[in-house]
Amino acid sequence: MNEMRESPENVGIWAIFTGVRQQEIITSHGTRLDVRPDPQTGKVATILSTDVFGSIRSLAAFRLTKDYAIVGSDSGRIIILDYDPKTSSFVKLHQETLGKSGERRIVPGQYLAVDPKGPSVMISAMEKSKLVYILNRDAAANLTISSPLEAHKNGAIIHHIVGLDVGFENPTFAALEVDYTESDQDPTGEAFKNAEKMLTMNWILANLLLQVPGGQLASSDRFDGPSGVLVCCEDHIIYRHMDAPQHHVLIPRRKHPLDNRDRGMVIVSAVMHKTKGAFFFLVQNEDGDLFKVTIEHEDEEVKSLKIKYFDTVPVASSLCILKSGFLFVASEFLNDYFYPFQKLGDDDEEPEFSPTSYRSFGMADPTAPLPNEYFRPRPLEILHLLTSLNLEESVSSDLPGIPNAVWTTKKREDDAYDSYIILSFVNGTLVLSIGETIEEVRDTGFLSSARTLAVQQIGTDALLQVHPEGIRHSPSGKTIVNAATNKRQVVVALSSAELVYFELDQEGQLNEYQDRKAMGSTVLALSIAEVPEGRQRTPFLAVGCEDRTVRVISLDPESTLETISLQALTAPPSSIYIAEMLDASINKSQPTLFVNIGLQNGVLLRTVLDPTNGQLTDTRTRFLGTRPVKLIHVQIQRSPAFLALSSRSWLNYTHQNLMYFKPLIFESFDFAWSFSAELSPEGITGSTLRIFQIPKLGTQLKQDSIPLSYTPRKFIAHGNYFYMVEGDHREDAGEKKLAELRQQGKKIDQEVIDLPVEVFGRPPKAPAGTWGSAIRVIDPVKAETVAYIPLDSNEAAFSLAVVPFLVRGGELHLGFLRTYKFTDEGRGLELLHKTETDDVPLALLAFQGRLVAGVGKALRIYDIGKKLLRKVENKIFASPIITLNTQGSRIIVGEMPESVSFVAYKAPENRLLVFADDSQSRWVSAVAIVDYTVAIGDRFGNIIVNRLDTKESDQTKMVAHFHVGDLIPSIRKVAMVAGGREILLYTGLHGTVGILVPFVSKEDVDFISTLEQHLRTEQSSLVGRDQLSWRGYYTPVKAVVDGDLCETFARLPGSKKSAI
Amino acid sequence: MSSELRYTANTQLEHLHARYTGTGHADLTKYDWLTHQHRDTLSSIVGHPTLTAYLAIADGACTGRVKYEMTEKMLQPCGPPPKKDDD
Repeated sequence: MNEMRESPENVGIWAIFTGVRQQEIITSHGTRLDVRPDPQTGKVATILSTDVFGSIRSLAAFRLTKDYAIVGSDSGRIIILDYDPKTSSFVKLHQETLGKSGERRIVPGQYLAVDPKGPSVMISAMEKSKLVYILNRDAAANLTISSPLEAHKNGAIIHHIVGLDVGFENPTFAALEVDYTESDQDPTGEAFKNAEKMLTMNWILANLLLQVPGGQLASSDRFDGPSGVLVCCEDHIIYRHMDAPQHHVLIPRRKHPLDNRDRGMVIVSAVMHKTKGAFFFLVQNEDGDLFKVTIEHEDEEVKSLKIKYFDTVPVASSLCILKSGFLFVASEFLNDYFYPFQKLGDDDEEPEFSPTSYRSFGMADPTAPLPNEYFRPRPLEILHLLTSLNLEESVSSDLPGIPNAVWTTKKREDDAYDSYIILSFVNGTLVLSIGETIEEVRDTGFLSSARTLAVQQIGTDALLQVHPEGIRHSPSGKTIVNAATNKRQVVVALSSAELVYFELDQEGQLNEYQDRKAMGSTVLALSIAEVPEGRQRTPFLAVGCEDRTVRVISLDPESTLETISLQALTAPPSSIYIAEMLDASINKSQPTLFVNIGLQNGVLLRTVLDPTNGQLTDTRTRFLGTRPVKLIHVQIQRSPAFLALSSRSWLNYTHQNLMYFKPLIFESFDFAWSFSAELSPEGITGSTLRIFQIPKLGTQLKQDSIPLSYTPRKFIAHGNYFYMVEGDHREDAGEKKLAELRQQGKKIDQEVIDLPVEVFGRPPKAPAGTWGSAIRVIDPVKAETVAYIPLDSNEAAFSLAVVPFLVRGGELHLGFLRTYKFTDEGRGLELLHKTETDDVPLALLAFQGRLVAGVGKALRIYDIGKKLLRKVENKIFASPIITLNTQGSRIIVGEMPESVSFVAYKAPENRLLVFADDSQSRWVSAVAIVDYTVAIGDRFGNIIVNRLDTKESDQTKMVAHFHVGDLIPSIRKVAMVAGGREILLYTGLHGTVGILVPFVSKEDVDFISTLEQHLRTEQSSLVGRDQLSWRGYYTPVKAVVDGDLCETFARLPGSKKSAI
Repeated sequence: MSSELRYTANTQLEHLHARYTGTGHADLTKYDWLTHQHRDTLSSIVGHPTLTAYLAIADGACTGRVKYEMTEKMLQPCGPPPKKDDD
């Protein structure tokens, strides 16, 4: 079974969607479609995340009275989706089959182009095939799609396509393509050059087309723009249109002392923003520099094309400008960012470049180089980064004693935030007021000499305190042991096992109901739900008694304090919480009334309360911890949720319409209450008064991140620390060169060199073959780097291993094994020696007190001496060794394209013997040993489990196969909970973290696979990809159940669920 | 098989080959086959986001650059065709 969540890593393309004056962003994450809200609304969490069981290759939006999304995928189909903000789900409107499934060269899906006013859409493949669909509305206002028009061209490789904005004329599309028919026939290579020239607009290679607005509005004669396209080439941008002069501008380069002119710069992402009467483009180059491109025009004639430096942000896979003034950067390998615009960069001093200064707009002699233009990079000026999104402030202060309860309350019904924090101690009550600081107040009217049982803001402007002696000024002879309150109702339980009920009348007076209800057993817990909107009261009260029962008691005026239903328990209850929460798996439209009962033995029961007859149904139990359960109401994203406190703390909440129950990663609390103040609108306070926020509900896993300087290659845990090697190609700090330049007395702009590397990278990129690399020691508990050892002389670390002779090898580019000694209890490393090897050692492993290394195609064992001494070698491998694992005297070797071999080390003869291998070849990326079985992750996103059956066999047998859809760099066998079942945990290049859980019983297998079968027929993929063929992309799925598919069961409508 | 039938079968085959680019036939030269293989592979790399990202990380470049270079390579992935023997 497989469960996976992808981190905010964007592969795809965005599109904009509009509801009622509201924009939402659709992002594709390769195998998933997400919807994110406009940050203007104050929300940033993903609204909807759907697994599409296919690979999304392109995404576009078009408008026909409302916005729709078009998806091109590997399903061989074109899909039109409508997003319904009410139910927050996608509705598939059209699904037109246009070719075979799978990522094929001539099946359309790679590129999408939309004619904005047509509307019509072109979908194209990498080669030859282009189809055009016309979209329209029929009489009933339903979206219709025409049969496709073919625009195929044999032998054409398509670089990019775009729809021209031609107003309301016939749709026109532009394609950037190159024809190979002639060059394939011509052995001299002349045709090849010609073909390249065609593509290249005579002398430079182009890679991207951008639509330029055009056409007239129906209401005025004014042209929106000149129409045509911008062709982005290496280092240049050219404006082109049919029968119009070209305009040509050079993309400015960074003014950097180490700038390398030979390195061309392509535009990797771009966005056009159109407002009434104006438009501009933001284009981004490989280094992340944004440029603003504007076109001055008179009607349809272009006067000038201008480009200027805008700002520098991380390199994006796509950009998107929201109407509310945000730039959304779907970063390639980093998190996504929102940047609010400070201004539009119209009136700053940044130099602007325009072809008007060249002869015939730079097209006089197309082969003559233009003079270089430079700009000076600077920190963000026009944009600023929205940082408050990731805010996670926490306040912690010590208190005079140990409080046994804490509440927060506001003073008036219509206050937005809480004003008081009330702490109850064994013999008193402390009131703190919340302002800019939190301090004690005395004149609040609260009784401070006794402990408090409940605090509630009631009516419009009254506060209620329940203490053992009474409620404000309604004293009674018996002491109060328990209380439950909401805005209009108060119920207290007395020590004589009686219930007293109060209700607020129209004048705001609290009236006691004439009768008291005798329960016959001491009341341990009480709860009433919030008053439903527009109602006077909630009709149900839940009472937990010592005789191990929970009774639901009516508060209806006609049957006040009558027992409606009864639930027997296995232990005395400790806490009850009635809540109305939305759970789409039970009821899609209305919140369900849940009665949550915490027992003294640490078990939580959840039952559903039927609002019409008050019966309790559908009981579910969960073990929370060893202490009695306390249930506390909190507000999360303005909807009710609750904390369940036992020896561990749990949070139950609704997210994306589904209910989740998750443990909190925090030390355990005694008591908590939700806290709402201007600074932190949603938070929870605990004892020893701690205020914290739950910033990201959607994330299923807790994560901490530590910034690194290069791409991490490998890391291992040893002792209390993590050891990591990182390295990147084309990286060079350039210190040497800078020093040289300084010596020559050249002026160097220090500010440009000192720009932060995280944003600006280390430009200029060094030539191929230059490596930057380092070894880092990390303290995982404090999440900080304790040691950092940069590698010099163009070496790159590729692998490392801790070997019991206390040697650590970092691995190097030209073939070195570096041996380090631990110093300072593992906090530091000391270089012992460097050993030269004849090839790149990609894999290292500790083996029987020695070091095994995969050096290129050779497997070797080294021992320590003055250098590392080669002891044994086996050179029969056909390809480079990239993974090594060991089990006893066996070494399991993963080769790059040749799958896995089993090697035995024969100590007496000192030989390495290959005794079994895989019958198939696989591009291994990660290997984990299970038992006699190995789990292999390959480069194309498959997980394979191979078993070595008997000793006689020299071939492994494949026992399971599954396509994850993400490249798997690491796979491991772990037990997630101490003593728990062992599972296979894998991670993916696009941020997938998934697990494979072994089934223990045959019944489980039958049950789940039957469920999977049913879901396969019920749930069709959003992109029209068949789930079974997706999971069996390269080889049919074997012995693995798709957990992602089974999870979709909860989203099915009730009727289909019961049918299954 | 009559010669006439063979003739029609051949035209059909030719038609199919024209329609499904990349399909092999009995007289395929080594060069053609290799070129087809390379073009298929390159287009697959561009089409699979994970493969593009993998190459980009390995090369220290950005995905946009990798896509651009892969597409450009599709034009003539295996160099110019070999000279024909008969001329």
